[in-house]
Amino acid sequence: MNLADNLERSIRQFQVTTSIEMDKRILNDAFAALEESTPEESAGLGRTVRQIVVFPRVMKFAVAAAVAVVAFALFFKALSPKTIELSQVYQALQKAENLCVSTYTDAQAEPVQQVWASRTLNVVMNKTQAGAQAKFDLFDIPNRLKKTRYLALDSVGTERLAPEQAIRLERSISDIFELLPFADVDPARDGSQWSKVPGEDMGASVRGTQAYELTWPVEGSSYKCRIFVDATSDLPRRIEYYFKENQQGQYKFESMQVAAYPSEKEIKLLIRDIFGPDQDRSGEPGYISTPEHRPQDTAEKK
Amino acid sequence: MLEDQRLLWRLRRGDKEALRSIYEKYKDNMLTVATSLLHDAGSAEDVLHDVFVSFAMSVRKIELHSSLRKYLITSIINRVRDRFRTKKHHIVELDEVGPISSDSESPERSAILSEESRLLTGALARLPLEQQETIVLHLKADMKFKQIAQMQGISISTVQGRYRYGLSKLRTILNGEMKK
Repeated sequence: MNLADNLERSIRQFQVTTSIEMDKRILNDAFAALEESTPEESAGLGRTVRQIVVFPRVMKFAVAAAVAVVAFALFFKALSPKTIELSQVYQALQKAENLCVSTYTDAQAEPVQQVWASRTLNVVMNKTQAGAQAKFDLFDIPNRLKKTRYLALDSVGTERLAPEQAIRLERSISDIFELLPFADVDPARDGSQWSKVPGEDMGASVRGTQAYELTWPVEGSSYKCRIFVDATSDLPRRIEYYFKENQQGQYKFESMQVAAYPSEKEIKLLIRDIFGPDQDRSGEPGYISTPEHRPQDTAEKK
Repeated sequence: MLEDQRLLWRLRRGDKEALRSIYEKYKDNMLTVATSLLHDAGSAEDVLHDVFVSFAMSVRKIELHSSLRKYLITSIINRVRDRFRTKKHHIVELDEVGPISSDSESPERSAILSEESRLLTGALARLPLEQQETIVLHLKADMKFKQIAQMQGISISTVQGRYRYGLSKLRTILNGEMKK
């Protein structure tokens, strides 16, 4: 069989990769371009003479108002359950070691995609398609392996990951944990807002969570995330995405992500269920964590 | 799609890591499309560079009506067309084009192309630009005929025709190359 016999497949397989030097050159120039396009933090802060004169008078009222607001806030905070800030949710996600995120695009029962990521095991696993058609891709970065399994088939396909691929995948793990669009809210800078959803019944739809809304405008349109945050761990358990084309319109549901935080052991077991036990990896070292996390090791020492 | 939106949100706030992630995710696909159409590794790199730097510069003004991938691939196609226009390229005759070459000064900038890839891109270069574009967009950018028709402002049947004739001509060229 030659090129001409299976032309479409040959073209599909044709792939050109960038060199490390090229990546460096393009990214350096792109970063510089991004910096140029990013408005200075101080932009708009250059005050006129009038503003400088008026400022202290306005300040007196503002300070008095702020003191009153803070006093009220402290009083009510003491009475009401804790309020979770966006930065706390973001920080909790940064600390999470393992994640399983399922994405739904409508009211279907099965997610369109599921991703498992483990910072400690350094693995990523994707599940696409549903039911018997389901396909699993495991990216085993420490062993530089990609394994593929179609649920309907018994066989497991294995291919080696190139060193650059492994580096890229390793970097992408932290992206998977970035479930939120950004870490801080700044209404003055970009119109973003974070607020608790009024009515305690909203949080009741996911047990043990509080519901918050993050909104931000983008060129006339507006995005909204409704985030159900675990009241104990501050981790998001469900994130619903909404979009409206203009300020007058209604928010339309776009998609939903359900997040779970399995243990390292649970991820290992899942991988074993799908791809078989570790010894199937033709002499490759199995998943091992640090010795203090391996109870069998400590038992042996005793 | 959702992941791309998140990366864009972060990028609009000046997050460099988001820019890096987008680059890492799409660079090879963008470079492959550019190389398939330009048949010159150096020029393809320049196109990738121009498109990505422009993207970084104008990211705040970009309004996405489709996926980020489609946006970047369309930008590559537009930049390739500009190159053809400025270089006054014309629809080449079968004998005019040789195998893929690089006009890049430094060899380390050149992308790695296997012999089979050289044959393939060399043969692609002998097709009229419209047929090349249709084949590359359908097979390398995974665009549906309907999407290509919308992008090029032509009917679906014209796109299907270009694709069919293009593949058939490509097969003839490659069979000829094999016999040599």
